[in-house]
Amino acid sequence: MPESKQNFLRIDNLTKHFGEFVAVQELSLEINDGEFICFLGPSGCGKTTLLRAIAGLDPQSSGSITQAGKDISNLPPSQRDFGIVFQSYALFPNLTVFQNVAYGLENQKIPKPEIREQVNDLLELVGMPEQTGKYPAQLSGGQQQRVALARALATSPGLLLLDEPLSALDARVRATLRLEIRSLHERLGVTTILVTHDQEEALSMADRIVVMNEGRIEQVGTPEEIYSAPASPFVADFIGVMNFLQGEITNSGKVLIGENKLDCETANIPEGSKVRVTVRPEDILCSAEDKNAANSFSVKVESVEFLGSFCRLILSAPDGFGKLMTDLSTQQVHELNVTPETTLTAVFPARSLKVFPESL
Amino acid sequence: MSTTDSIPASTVPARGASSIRIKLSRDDYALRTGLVVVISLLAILVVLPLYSLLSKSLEDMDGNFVGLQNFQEYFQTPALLTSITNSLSVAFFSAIIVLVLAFIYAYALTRTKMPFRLFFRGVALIPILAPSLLAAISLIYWFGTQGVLKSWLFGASIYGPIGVIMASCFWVFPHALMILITALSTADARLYEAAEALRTPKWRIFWTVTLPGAKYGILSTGFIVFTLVITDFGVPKVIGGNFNVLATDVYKQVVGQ
Repeated sequence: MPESKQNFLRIDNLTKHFGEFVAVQELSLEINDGEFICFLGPSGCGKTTLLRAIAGLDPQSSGSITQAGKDISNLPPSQRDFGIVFQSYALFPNLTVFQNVAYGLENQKIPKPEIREQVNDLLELVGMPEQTGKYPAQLSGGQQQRVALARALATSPGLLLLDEPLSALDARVRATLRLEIRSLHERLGVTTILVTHDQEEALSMADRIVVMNEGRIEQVGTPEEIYSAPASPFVADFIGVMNFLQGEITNSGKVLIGENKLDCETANIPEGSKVRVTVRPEDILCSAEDKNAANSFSVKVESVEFLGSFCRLILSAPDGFGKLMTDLSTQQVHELNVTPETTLTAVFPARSLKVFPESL
Repeated sequence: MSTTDSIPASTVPARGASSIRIKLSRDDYALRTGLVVVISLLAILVVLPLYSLLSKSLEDMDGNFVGLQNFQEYFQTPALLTSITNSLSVAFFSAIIVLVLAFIYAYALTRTKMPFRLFFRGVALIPILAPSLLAAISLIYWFGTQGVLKSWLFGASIYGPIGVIMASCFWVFPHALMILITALSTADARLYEAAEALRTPKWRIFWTVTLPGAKYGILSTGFIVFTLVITDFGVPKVIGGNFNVLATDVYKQVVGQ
C-alpha cells in the first residue's frame, strides 16, 4: 500500500445520518501529514459529526476513512491512533492532574519512573509544571484545558483532534491558548484537526480551513484564500463581514444595480442572469471629494459605530444598493469629519468585487 | 426625592456600615407565609403526638409521674440488646446485598446494550408500590411450612433472620434500583469517550469512571436501604417468627403481646 507523506488522512464519500437527518453528506477530504486543519461552520453544519466519525466515536453510515495508509473505517476508537480534547475538558474528576496525564501511559504498561518523567515533561510543555497534585475542580477552565491537552498528547498520537477546545473559555484565555496550541503544533508537528464555529480562531490558527455548511464542504483553502476569494456566497457571508448587492449582468464586465452600473469581473456568467456582488467593508474607499473614478458613488452616512481603532459606518447608497457597511480608521473619521448625514464619495474597486450567480 | 428628604439625618447609615436592607418582594411574603403554615402543620402532626407519647413514658399505669423509671426497666431487659443487634445486622446485610444486586441490575440497564431493557426496568420497578409485608407473605408461600420450595433452604427455616433479610431485600430493591439508575445514567459520556480514546481496558473504565461517578448515588442508596429495613415492621412481623427486632419490640411495648 503506498503511503505518501502528503496524504495522511483521507476521507472518501463519507455520509452520516441520524435517523432521517443527514448530518454529513458524501464528503471527501484529504489531509496532509503535519497539517493544522480547522473544520469551520455554523452549529449543526456537521463539523463535530465529522470529527467524531474520524475518531470512531460515532461511526459513519457509509464511506471510508484512511489514516496513514490504513483503512480505519471499521475500527473501534481504542484501535485508532488519535488523541482528543473536548470542549467540556472531560478530565477524570476523581484523579489528580498527574494521574489524568498518566492515565493513557499506564494503559500501555510503561514502567513507573518513565511515566513520571514523561508526565512532568508534558505538563512542562503545556505550561502547568507546578500543579501535579491538584484535582480538576481546583483548576480554572484554561488550566483544565491545558491538562486535557497534555493527556491527549501523552500517548504520542499520530492525530490530534480538538473539539471546540476554546469555546468554553473567556476571551483573554482563549487568545493565549490559541497561540500556545499553535506553537505546540509547530514544535511537535502532529497532524491536528480543530473544530470551531469561531472564524477568528480558524483564520489565526489553521494551515487550511474546511468551511462546512449543511453537511457539505463549501470551500477548502488557506485562511488567506478563504477570506479574500470565497468560493460561495455562504463562505463570503460566514467569514468576516460582507456587503451583498443584488444585481443583473448587462453586457460583459458590467453589473446593473438599481440604475447604476458597476464594473467588475463577471467571469463566465451569461448576460441577463441575476447575480449577487460582494464587497468587504474595508474595501470600500471613502473620501470627501468627488473623484470621478470608475465605480464611484455619492453616499450618505447614516450612523457611526466606534469600535476602538476603527469605526464602522452604515451608509445609505443610491437606489438598489441598500445599506452598506464600511470601516474607516478612527483617524480617517476625524480627518473627514464624519458624522451622521455627512455625504461622502465611495469607490468600489473592481478587483475587490466578487460576483456570484443568484442560484448559488 | 420626597422619600430621601423625609429621612432624618441620624438614620442615614454611617459610611462603610453594611446596613442596606433589600425590601421584601411579594414572593418573599408568599414564601414566609408558606413556611409558617408548614411549621404549624408539622407541630400539630408530629410534635404534639410525639409529646403525648413521650409524656406517657414518664408515667406509670395509673398515670402517676415516675420519671425515668420505665426507661430504666426497659433498658435492663436482656431481650433489648438482642433486638438491637438483630435490627442492625438485618439492616446491614440487606443493605450490602441489595446494593450489589441493584448496582449490577442498574449497570446492565444503563451502560449495556442488553435487549428488552425497558421491559426489565419496568418489571423491577413495579413492586415499588407494594407494602413490605407482601414480600414476606410471598416468601412464606414459597418457602413456608407448606411451601413448594421448602427443600431449597436445606433444612433451615424461613421464619427468622433468613426470611427477614430475603423479604427486606426483595422489598427495597426497587427503591435502590431507582436511585442507582439515575446515578449511573447521569454520567458524563465524554469521560467514557476520553477513556476509550486512551485505550483503557473495560475493567479500568469501570473502576476509574463508572464507580467514582456513581459514588454519591451508591452512598445514598446504602443509607436509604439501611433506614427502610431498620424501621420496617411488616416483614419481621410476618416472617420473623421469634426473631425480635426493634420495630416489633415497640409494637409489643405499646400494644402488648
